[in-house]
Order: sequence, then C-alpha cells, then structure tokens
Amino acid sequence: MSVKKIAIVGNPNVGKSVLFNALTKQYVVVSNYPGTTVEVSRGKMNLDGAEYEVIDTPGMYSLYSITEEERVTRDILIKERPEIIIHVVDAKNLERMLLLTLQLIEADLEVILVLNIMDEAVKEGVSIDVGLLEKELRIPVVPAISTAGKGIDNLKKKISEYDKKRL
Amino acid sequence: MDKKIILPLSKLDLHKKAKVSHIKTEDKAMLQRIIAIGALPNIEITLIQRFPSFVFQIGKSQFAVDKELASCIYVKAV
Amino acid sequence: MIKRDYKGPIENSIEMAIEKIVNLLQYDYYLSPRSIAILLLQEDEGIRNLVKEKDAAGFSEIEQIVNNLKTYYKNPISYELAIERQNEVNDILKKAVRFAKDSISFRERLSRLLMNPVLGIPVFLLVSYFGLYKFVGQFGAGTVVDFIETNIFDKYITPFAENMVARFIPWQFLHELFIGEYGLITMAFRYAFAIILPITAFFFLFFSLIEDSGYLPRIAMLIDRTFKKIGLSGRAVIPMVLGFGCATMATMVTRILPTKRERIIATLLLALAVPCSAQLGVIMALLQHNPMALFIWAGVIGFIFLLVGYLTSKILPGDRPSFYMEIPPLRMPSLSNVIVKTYVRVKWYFKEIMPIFLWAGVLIWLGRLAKIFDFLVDILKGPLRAIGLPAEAAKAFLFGFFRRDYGAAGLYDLSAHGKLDGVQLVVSCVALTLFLPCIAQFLMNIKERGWKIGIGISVFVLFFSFSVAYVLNIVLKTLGVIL
Repeated sequence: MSVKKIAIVGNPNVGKSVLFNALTKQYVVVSNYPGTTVEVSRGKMNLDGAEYEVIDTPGMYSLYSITEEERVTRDILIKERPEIIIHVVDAKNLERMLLLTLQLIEADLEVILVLNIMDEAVKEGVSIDVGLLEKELRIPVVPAISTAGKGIDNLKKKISEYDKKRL
Repeated sequence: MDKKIILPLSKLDLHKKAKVSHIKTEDKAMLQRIIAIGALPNIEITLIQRFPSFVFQIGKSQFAVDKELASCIYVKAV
Repeated sequence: MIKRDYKGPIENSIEMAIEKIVNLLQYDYYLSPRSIAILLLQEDEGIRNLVKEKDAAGFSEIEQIVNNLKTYYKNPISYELAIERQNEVNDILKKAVRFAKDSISFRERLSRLLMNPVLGIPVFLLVSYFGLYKFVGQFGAGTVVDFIETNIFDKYITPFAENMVARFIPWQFLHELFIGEYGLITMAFRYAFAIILPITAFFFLFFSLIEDSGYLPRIAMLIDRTFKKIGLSGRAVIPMVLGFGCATMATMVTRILPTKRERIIATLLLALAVPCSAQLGVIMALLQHNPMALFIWAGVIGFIFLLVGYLTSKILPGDRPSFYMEIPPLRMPSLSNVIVKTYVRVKWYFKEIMPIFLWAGVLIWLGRLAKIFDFLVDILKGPLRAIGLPAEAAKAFLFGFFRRDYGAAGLYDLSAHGKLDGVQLVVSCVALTLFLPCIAQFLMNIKERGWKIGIGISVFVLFFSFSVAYVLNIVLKTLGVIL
C-alpha cells in the first residue's frame, strides 16, 4: 500500500513549519524541489497504525501563482495528489486568508482548515464561531496554537476521521 | 478637503480610516501582489506610516510596501 | 460547489466561460475542472502550459474562450474573481466572526517604535552589534572555534589522520591530498567542522531568533528605500545580514529574492563589499589600535557598496524591484522551534557546502602539485607593489583566499615586524575586504549564478579590489595622511 500524502499549505508567516514539526517530530528531509531553488520539507507521521508523508509546502497566497514558491506548491498539489490538504491560516486574519480556502474547496480537494495562532486572535478581540464556520464552509475546522502544541491532537483526530470516511 | 474624494493610498492621511475604492495598475504581477495582500474594493484600510516605507493595516494585518505599490491602491475616506 | 452570479452579458459571463472550458477538459488534473478553468481564465502561465500538453485537442478553443471573455471586462479577470471571492468570504465572516473594538496594544506601540526610523535604526545597530558582533563574531567565531580547533582537531583528529595516512598510503604525493597544510582532512574537514559549523550554528540561532520574533520584516521596511537605490528591495536585507556571518551561505540565500536581476546584484555585492565574519575578525584585529584607520576602512567599504550597487542597478536591464512584506506582530520566539529551525538549517547548509569544500581541497592539491601556487604568488606581487604593499603580502593574500587563518597570520606577521605602516595597513585591509573572501564563495557564485556570471563577478571583483586599493593608496599618499 502506498503511503498517503498530506500537504500543509497556506500564506507565509502563519506557522506552517511549527505545525509541520509538531505533526512529524522526526524523519524530516529538506530538499530543493526538482528544477527549482525552492525548499520543501517532508516528514513521516504515524496515526492509528497508518503512515503518512507530510509535506510542508512553500508559502502561497492563491492557486493562481506568480512566485516560484507558489508554482512549486501548486505543482505538488497537481503532481503528488495529496489525499488531505491542511490549510493553515492566521485566525485573526480570516478576512484575507479564506480566499485561498475557497479556492481549495473549489478545486475539490479534501481540506482541513486550521485556525492557527488562536491566542493572538483572542488577544486582538476576534471571536470565531468554529461550528458555524464548519457549517458554512462544509469542511472540518480546527482551532490551534501550534507553538504551544494546542489543537494538534484534534487535528490528528480529524485526519483519521477523513480517512475513515473515505474507506 | 472633500471627504468623498478618491485618492491613492500614498496620499491618505495617517491613521485615518478609509476604504479601498479600486486598484489601478497595468502591471499584472503588481495586481496579483495587491490581491494577495487583500487590498480589494470595499476593504477597510488605514495608513500607519509613510516613511521610510509605507505601512498600512487591513483587518489585523500590517504590510510594508514601497511607494509604487501604495500609489496603485485608490481609497476613499469614510 | 460554489457558484456565483457574475455581471456582464449572460453569454459572455465568467460563469458561462467556466462552464464551456470545463466541458473541453478531459485530463484529470487532480484539481477540479472548474478550478483549472478559473486558472485558465486568469491566464496562469503554468496551468496554460499544462493544459496545452494534456488537453491539446481542446486547447485552441479554450484560448478563444479566454481571449473572447477578456474583451468584455475592463479589469483583468483575476481582479474580478478576487472581488467576488472576497465578497463571499465577507458574507461567511459576517455570520461566524465577531470583532471587538480596536485598541492599540503595548505590542503594537512597541512595533511602531521599531518601525520609526528615529528609534528603529539605532535599535537595529544595537541588535547587529550584540547579535552579530558579540554573539556570532566574538563568541561563536572566536571562543567556540578556538576551543574546537585546539581541543578537538589539534589534539585528536589531526594526529589520528596523519597516523592513518602515513600507515596506509605509501605514495608521498597522495599524502598531501589528505593531510598537511591543505589536506582534505586537515584543511577541508577541519575548516568545515571546526570553523564553519560553529559560526553557522551561532549565526542561524541568532537569525532564527530575529526571524521568529517578527523583527526581520521591520528591518526590511526601514532599509527598503536605501536598498532601492542600489537595485535591491528591503527583502534583500536577509542575505545581506547573513553575509556578515558567511558570504558563501548568504549567496545561497539570495534565492529568496524574486528576480534574477536582484539575485545578481546581491551576489556581486556579497562577493565585493560585504565582509564575512572571518574577514571581519582579521580586520578588527589588524585595525583595532588605530581608530582613524578603522574609520577610513569602513567609510571606503560602505561607499564602494553603495556606488557599485548604484552603478550595477543602472547598467543591468530589468524592472525595478518591488517591495511588499507582511509585518507580523512581534512574538516571543518559542525556544524549541528556534532550535529545531537552527538544526534543520545547519544540516541543510552542510549538505550544500561540504562538496564545495572538498572540491576546493582537491583543487588546491592539484594547484600545489603543479606549482601553480608559486606562480600565482609571483603574479600577485606586481599588483601588490602597485598598491604600495610589500611583495611579502602576496603570499598572505593568496593563502587568505584558501585559508583565512593563514592569510590573517601573514598580515599579522608583516604588521608585527613593522613592515606595514598605517596607510599600508588600511590599503591592505580594503583590498582584502573587497577581494573574494574565500574559494568556497567563488565556487558558490558559479553554482548559483552559472559559469558566465559567476566567473564574471569574480574577475570583476579581482580587478576592482586592486583598483580601489590603488586609488586609495594614491589619495592617502597625496593628502599626506599619516595613520
């Protein structure tokens, strides 16, 4: 059986790498994407006996790509066909971040939305009705503070649920 | 000055609430950068600093841009 | 899925065009046909090429639909779509998110102070002084390097390697490939592990700290205006700051710059006018008792940096760089994340740099075997005399290119024996700074920029460094400056 792939995508500066490190812990390989100077990290994650390859993709704002980083991320989506896409966003900036979420949903990808840096959002007076957001977007939404390890277990649960649902 | 006037972000007064009216540029890459920043029509925007770079706030995010980019975003005071 | 109503004549609406394109797409792109159609309407180059290859049959018809639609919209389609999407997002957020009233937090106040040039620039200088000079330079490149060299390499590894080579390799000429002044083990490995490893580890630690705290973009915004004058944008502050640690590594990091033009300018400036920590150490040691000389040196190098950048940006074709950077809130960096990041970077760096060091070692071995070194020392004597330096300095310059400690020692000796006066000292330091810092950077320039540009930059740097030193020597002599 081939290893399932999970791609972590999102804007620069939303804590993708921290989340990636929290999920993979070890076996991380950083390499240049073939033919480019863009770095991509890959790591392994074990969950309920299943093995996943987690890919930390370069920052992207939109599926429409202008930078080399965005092209690489989109190439990864198209060529490597990851089963699950974790879209990491900065919770206090949903206004700007959900544009990409909509594009990913529109592309028929299996998206899990991670509302990262929740602590800052709370501090800034942003309160989010996660249940309602899930209903509106029709995808799983996980609040998280990846630097403090919060929300990681919940995210893992959603990943397994996604997988079971597909079997 | 007329309150309804539309002017480039680079000319907006500091700390004054405004809304993006439209983007004006011939440069496709520049337009894409502005879309990525999220400076789209009807979004609220505040200029925080203009020297040495332009710094503005949209929602809870701040961006530093150069004069060329700040001049492509047209805003109206609210 | 998500359907939208678009304005414009129905038969030419974006929604209709999407539907028509979707019907023409046969290949499974993994992204939904609707998504591919939208990207095609935005004229995304990569997707266009992909569809041209995978759906060759329908491609001309698709192109026609895209071109036809464009004529009905005043703005680019990507702009229209972004506005639609934004409205959709706003509708969702109106239901699911509440915003409390804005207030300016302490953090925000601090952030604004750091971005204010009056306070921000002095803070930047302080951070550089303590972070780069004290922490990376003096502690990392000084104390820690000395410890590893004397207590690990000189005591254990070098004697062990010498012993093994003497025992198992019978040919004398091959001995020198592995051990001795320029051997792969005694020089390349030692250089990599005893010098570069600690310096880069400390540097990346410092760098990860200022990166994770969100400070880096604030430096970029302060410096953008100045950097624009030399054809770079504020973003280039990252490789430039790295250059003070190790210019070879910084050259590699120029990859983050968005255009080829910016990468070339940054590579050139790094090769020419950004002294790496090894060079800085030597120069500080040579000039520390002569503040006036230090001042002249810094002034000349700063001036050359700006002048060459300015002229290059005038000569090189291409667009002016554009600057935009998100300013993240200031954050307390998480220690574990900083350590993981530093570790991953050092590992990655080593994988890239190790082959270069080994190649340099082999090159030096060949060069010495073929007596090319003696030949080069002879060649160097002429230009050095021309810039007013004694012929003995030739050896120090050439060896400095291969082994910084030898180059330094060479100049120390000359200086200690009273063979260099104040003017000669300044002139030699300027020449040494502008000169390529080391063979690794020379090879990195070629690796990153290709043969033509890599060699071109190096040849330019070689001639330019001596020309500047020559002019400086004449100016100082003519003015009768005594240092």
